[in-house]
Amino acid sequence: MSNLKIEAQVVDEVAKLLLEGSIDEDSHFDKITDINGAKEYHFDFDKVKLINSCGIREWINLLDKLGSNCQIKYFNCPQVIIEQMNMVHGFVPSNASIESFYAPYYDEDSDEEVKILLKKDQVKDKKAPEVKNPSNGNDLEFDAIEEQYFSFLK
Amino acid sequence: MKDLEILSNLFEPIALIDKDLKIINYNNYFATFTKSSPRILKKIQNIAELIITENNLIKNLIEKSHKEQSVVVSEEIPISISTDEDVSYTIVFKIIPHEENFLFCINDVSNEKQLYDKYRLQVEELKKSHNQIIQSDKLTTLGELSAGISHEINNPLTIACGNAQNIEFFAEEDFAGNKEIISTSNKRVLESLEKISSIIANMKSYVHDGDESDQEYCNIVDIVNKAKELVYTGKLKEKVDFEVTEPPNNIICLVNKIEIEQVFVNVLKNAFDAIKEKGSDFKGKISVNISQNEEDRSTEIEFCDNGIGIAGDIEEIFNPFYTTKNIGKGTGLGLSISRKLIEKYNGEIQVEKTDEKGTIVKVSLPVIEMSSIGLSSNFIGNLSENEQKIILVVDDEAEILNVMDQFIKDQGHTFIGSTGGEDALSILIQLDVDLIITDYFMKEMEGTEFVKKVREFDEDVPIVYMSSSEQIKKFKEDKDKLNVAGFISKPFSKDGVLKIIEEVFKNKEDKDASGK
Repeated sequence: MSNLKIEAQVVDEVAKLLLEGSIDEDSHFDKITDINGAKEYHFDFDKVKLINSCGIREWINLLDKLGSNCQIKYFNCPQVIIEQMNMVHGFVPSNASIESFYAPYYDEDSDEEVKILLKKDQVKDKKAPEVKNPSNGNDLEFDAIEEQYFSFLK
Repeated sequence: MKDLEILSNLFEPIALIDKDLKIINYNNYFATFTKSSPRILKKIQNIAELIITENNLIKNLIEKSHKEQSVVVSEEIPISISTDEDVSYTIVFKIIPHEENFLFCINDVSNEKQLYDKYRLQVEELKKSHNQIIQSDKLTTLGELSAGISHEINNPLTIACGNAQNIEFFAEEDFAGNKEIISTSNKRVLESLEKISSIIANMKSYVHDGDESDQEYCNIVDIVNKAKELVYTGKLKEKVDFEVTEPPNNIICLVNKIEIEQVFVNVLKNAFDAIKEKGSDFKGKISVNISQNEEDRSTEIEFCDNGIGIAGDIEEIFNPFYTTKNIGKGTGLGLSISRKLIEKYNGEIQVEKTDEKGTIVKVSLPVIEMSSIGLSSNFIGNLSENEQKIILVVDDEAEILNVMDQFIKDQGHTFIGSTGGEDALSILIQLDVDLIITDYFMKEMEGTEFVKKVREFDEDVPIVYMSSSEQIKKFKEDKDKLNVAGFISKPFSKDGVLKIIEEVFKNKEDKDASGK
């Protein structure tokens, strides 16, 4: 029984795919591979809670099936997905790009951990951009090892 | 700390800790695994605050590694991480002493464990479904055969009723004067009831939902005859000649007899159906030939019929739900299940020939020696020296092999069965055994000749003769000449057999200890 819900919308030649749940050994991507003729695939990972080693394997198989002639874009990647991207070769093939992702920040004044959605262009030389806490305007400090966390941005 | 930089390239969480469990350094994946930022890890005084285990496990492992100055590996254990206590992991710790400190390595096997549990459950469910399909096929077959079987029951029932009425009549008329005729009628009633009882017992045994691992040594002719009894009933007896060609010697297979009977019933039922298709006036013929293939030493059972043959692709008939019969007749599962059952024993079932003159289906089963070794091989791998022994028993009677199998396995030893001298010799070439118990009179060679051949390549293995008490003189002749260790007199008891086995092993141990 798959723990992953996929919502697909195709507009012109762009397939927008909203993923929700866990990507694991039971994940089926037929809904994605059945889309014929899309030139771009936009994956929204915002509601993905977990990806395990079998899920990574399934994901890479999916990318193989989609082939290299299409454009793949990843949006709203949570920390679990970023960690996998940093470890697994093939998760971001040459025809794919990460458009936006979450990064861990810390508000020292309010002792609050905050995930901030960043666009890829905001990160220069693997340095975390300065951002403020959206709830109180406090300055936030990056809460991971920058070199490691941003290593997916080649 | 250069070491830790190198370790940062590994996808395994590793931390450097001191003997008080304080984290000195860690690699990148350690932070990822523990879901802890450098800020959090800096605050943590003791790794046991971060990684939650039972019974101070980390502390104990570090102390052990420190004391022994050696690498210590834990068992698979459940842990949780204080930064995310909702998730539990299954991991293995490895502690490596490193100068004054310790490398604390974590092998996360949660995924493997989870998959193992999940697939084990699925395999069990599959097995259950498989057994249900097999059982359902048996019940369907029995339903289809019920008309013929009820005819088989009706005949003796009619005889029993008639004779019971005779008894009543003659007893009322003059009991003492008609004693002889009453006694004869009573005998016929009993015989008829016994026949009915045998038919019902056969049906019950056929649908028995037993354990698939219930394998025993079976005479293949007996299984063919049992299947025949279920299928060859009613009007078929008038319309079809049925002949079983038995081999000159017993052919024994190590199988679950109900499973093999199910295969034979399926094949025979198809043969009868093919004959019926030739019309009601057609005189059918079925012959079953049982033989031993001397080349590959397999047992072959050939089912030949003179029915209409099989239309279409022969291989298709072994596919599930494929049937050449009319709708409502046959589930299309019989031959598919039969193939699965036969393949389980490394055997084969195939259509040798089919045309408008009839069909030949051949079932091949491996010789018992191969099945016996196969069945015991897992166990042999786990034998602990001096405690459990491998005992080879040679006899061409299935019942003797089954009884000895039970006796020997009950003692915790491994039993290997063989039906003759040549077969037993082929086992001894492949496998070292601790004891041979052999019937003296065998189809190919007598005990003396067999032992002579064994002694050509093994001077020491203890050998015990098993025969009727008149043959004890053979034992006495061969005892010193061929180093025969004992004699089991048939019929035997469990205690008697085990006592001899124990004595033989003890004598062998004493002999080995004294270096003789």
